[in-house]
Amino acid sequence: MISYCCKRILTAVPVLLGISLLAFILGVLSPGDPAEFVLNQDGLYAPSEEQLEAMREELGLNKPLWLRYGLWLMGVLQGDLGSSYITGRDIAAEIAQRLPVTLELAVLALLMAGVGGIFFGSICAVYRGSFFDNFVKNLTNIMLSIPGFWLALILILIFSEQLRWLPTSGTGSLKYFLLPAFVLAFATMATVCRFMRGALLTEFGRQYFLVAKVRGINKFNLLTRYALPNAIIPVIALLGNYFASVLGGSVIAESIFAIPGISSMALEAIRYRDYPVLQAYVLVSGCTLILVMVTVDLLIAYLNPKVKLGERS
Amino acid sequence: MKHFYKPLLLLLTTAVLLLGGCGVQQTASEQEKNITAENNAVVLAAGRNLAPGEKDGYYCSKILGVWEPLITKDENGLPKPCLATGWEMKDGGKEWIFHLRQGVQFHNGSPFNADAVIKNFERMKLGVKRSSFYGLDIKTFYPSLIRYEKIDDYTLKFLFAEPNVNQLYKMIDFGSPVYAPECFAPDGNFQGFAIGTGPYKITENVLNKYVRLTRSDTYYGTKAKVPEIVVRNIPNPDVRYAALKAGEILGVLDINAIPPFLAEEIKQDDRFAISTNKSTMIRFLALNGSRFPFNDVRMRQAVSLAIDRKDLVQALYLNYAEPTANLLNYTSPYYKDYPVEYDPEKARKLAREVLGGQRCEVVYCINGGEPLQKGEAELISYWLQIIGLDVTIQSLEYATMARQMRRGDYDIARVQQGLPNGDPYSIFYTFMMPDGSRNKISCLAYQNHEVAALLQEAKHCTDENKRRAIYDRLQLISIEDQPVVPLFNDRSIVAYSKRLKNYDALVYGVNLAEIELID
Amino acid sequence: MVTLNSAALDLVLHQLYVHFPVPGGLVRAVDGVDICFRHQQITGIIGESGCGKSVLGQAILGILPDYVARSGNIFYRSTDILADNTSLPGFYGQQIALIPQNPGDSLNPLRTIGRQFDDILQTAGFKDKTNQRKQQLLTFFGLPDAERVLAAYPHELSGGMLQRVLCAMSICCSPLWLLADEPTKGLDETACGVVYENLQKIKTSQSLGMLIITHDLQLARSICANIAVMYAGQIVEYGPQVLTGPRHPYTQAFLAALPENGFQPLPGLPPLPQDHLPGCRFAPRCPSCQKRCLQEVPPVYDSGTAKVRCFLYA
Repeated sequence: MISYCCKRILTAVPVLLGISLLAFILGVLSPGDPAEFVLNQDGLYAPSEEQLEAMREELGLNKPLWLRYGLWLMGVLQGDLGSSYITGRDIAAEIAQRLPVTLELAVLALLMAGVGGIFFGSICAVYRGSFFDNFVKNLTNIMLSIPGFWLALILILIFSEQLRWLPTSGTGSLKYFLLPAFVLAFATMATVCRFMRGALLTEFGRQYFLVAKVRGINKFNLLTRYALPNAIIPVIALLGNYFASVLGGSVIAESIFAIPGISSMALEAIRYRDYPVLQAYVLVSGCTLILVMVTVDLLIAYLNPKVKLGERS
Repeated sequence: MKHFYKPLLLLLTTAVLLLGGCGVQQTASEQEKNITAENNAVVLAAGRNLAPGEKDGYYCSKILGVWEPLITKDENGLPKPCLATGWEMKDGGKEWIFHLRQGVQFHNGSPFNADAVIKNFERMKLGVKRSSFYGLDIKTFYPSLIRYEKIDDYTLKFLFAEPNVNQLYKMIDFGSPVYAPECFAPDGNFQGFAIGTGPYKITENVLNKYVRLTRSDTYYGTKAKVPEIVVRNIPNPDVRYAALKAGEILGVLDINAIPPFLAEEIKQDDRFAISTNKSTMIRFLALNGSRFPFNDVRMRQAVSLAIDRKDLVQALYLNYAEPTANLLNYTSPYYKDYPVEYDPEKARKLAREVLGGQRCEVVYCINGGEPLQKGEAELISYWLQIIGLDVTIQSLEYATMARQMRRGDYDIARVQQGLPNGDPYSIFYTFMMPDGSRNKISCLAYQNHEVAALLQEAKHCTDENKRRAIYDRLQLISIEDQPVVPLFNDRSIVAYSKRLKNYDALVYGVNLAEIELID
Repeated sequence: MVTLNSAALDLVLHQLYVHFPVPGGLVRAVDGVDICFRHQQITGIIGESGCGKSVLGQAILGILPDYVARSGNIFYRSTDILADNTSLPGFYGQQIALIPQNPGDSLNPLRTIGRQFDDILQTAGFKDKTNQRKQQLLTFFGLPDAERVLAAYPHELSGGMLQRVLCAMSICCSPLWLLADEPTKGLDETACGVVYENLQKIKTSQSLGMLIITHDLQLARSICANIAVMYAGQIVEYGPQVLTGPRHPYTQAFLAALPENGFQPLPGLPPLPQDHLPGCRFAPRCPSCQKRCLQEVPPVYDSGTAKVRCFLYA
């Protein structure tokens, strides 16, 4: 297993190099002069040519491309992710401040989607064909069609404005994260629920399950010790992918609920062509993604003794 | 072999949860602080981060009342003393003497005097400081400055190579900020909070979340009424609105604090009120003067006459804006209120002269990020189609639009301009002189010898009446020639809970020192 | 047909019909079975694939799918277990147990053998913390290395070992009846030998009734006291000497087709699942077929020790 981890880390390095290079190239190719963005505050102020030139020098935009990338890479290897073009702040410090916030949001969303989806999916499978099952089936259809930002605003209207149970925005204790995590989770909750239901029904039809039933094992144990462990493995892979995507893509939740996480940082960086921030973001996202994937692989290998590390059932 | 997994897995998941949990820990204690302070602190919200912090040239916006400039402006936009109580202009504007206010202390107790101001200038000389408010560039605010010298503890002299008759205007607000020299780091950025002379001081700044202001009891003027103010950062306007209605905040402020539609709605709720004032923002259509059809002044005039600005402002902005065809914003003391013409017949006639009875296809670029612009573009296209222009609307990202404009790869573009200082010289220069920045980056290709001559005269003119006449003439030329087609002057709107008193909109922000809590 | 002297622990099947509704019509998997399986006797149910013996087993175990149409009764301990087997306490595991086919598929791949064993013991209220009981059973079936087996996952054991484990699991709660569903299906000769051995052990050590559904005649010959022959959903012959002295034409033809008897093939094919024949199912292929056979379903006649469903023995 140690060798597996080492192998994964080694293969991660060229991947991270590749995506950071890609981000760099995309940044360079896209229209927009960062010097202008730094100086002109959305069109309020028109900088002169000399001011622009001076800013370009300061930001190092006039250096040849390979040199810019090379310098950045060397900085990264020493732990320095550079400074933002727009604010001048140290990027590593900014990410260290923002990442835990996004992480908290993502973990909560994962719990909601995972626990909620698995729980309701199980109930639907066990009581297949019942009113509850049909109701949930229709409900998940609706849930998958609702756009996230609309849901966010409606929830704020109901729970913050009218009922005053939860705050509208910002960060703080757990209750600040409830609505945004729910907005992030609800579509995946629906997917996990249906997936779980299908996977469980498949297990119910398997030979070992029928044999176990005929042994007289009680229904609860049949569900939790026999069907569920077998059905849950693909769901875990699904949730792993989901968690990784939330870590990088919780933009809507973060911007509406005023949560300063790394996704909103990335959005601003894109808008203002803040290349160092973008490259750092791509790198950090890539790392977290790989970490999550390794964790999921280990988890699946632990749960399913038949699978060797590196394969997913 | 299996036994390795459990502990490693536990370790990994604990690591992930801990990292997230750390977030909970630190934010939980902040939350507690919020709760205890909330009871006697006034909480407001803004869409921008009003205290970007140490790497920002100004640390925070002037709105927060933390730092003060040497010269500020009054309700009419005229220069008013702040930390400088008086001034003299000599040598046709090449020499300026400023008298500083006495008996003023910075928040940390150190004295405000000529030495402190000089250290601020030395800091500015280190280089351009970027900021989300205005670029802090000594060359913009003090062009051709040779040197500055201390005459005595409360008098400073500035010497310029060229006459700077309107120097006062350049120094208004963001042009002459004064901070305690101790709060600067050697590289000119801040180390720690900004320390100024204003009615409020910063006691806590959590970046991108909120900034806490506490009343300064050593303020030389009228002390602030509210002892503690917290300004939160909520980027989404609908969420700000919800927070206001839910009672989480007592008011919203800064640019685009509340859009017109929501302002109308909140007026209907008895618990809330709104306040408006003029804004320095002017919204206009840039026309590509380097190619047909807008290289012909008649076509530009036709566009201006064809647009019913009153209708536009009423339909899309609910009259929270002032129609204008004047390049100069109405907050400038030199602003003259010229009538706005709407004459579709005349427009059609002029257009026919230029187009020769044919129709012409034009490209109209808008910023895709602003929701109302699409509707506005469609309305304007309707009017333009009447005079023979077939409009294709292109919704672009801001950077792409800027690039296309620079290349002259457009016909019409919807943009905006703020007023950096009350003196119209810079505005007219940037739009109407061939080497003016705005003129170049929008390919306006506007040239006018009379304008050049007038601006040259204004540069040296010390007679106030004559200056006014020059600027009147320049405004008229801008209306006649329409190098760009101004649409309307913006209005600043703020909204607040009636638990607050004196929450009045200024041209820029709200006077935080004036607001009171009624309880 | 319920005989008056049946002991309460017998399994009595009365007018049992199990029909599967399919798009084409109705598949009559079990089409009128009347039989009494005596307690403490070993009965083999033999027949070709598709004759309905597996469905019969499912009906007895009560694991028929919901959409299946069934009628008739299965009496056990004065209860109709076809209608409802929940009223009998400990029906599964203590009254009746199963030795399933395909040992590889019959165990939970994610749970160790020991844990699964414990689950089963738990249904009868047994707690075996020291693994003593399990060890005894496994050793009895030829797996002396019980610790290793109990700690292993199913995929880590060979097919033969799994077969032994399944046998151990089936009798661990001392059931009164045991159903073995095709225990030698797909196994090679040595593995078959293991199965024979295990079933013999069970026969000698426990006093229970056994039903062995199989088409392995050697197995049937070696341990079954009674044999029932099924064809097209019906039991055509039943008795202790079916294999030595077959009476029904089908049984005779069936035995004649064996390699040791000369491989004499039987003309024709068995009826398709959806076909509904008004008379004897075997009549179209029967060498002794009479006109009557095609029109009426022959009832069950006694003939010596056997019961035969054929007009020849009227």
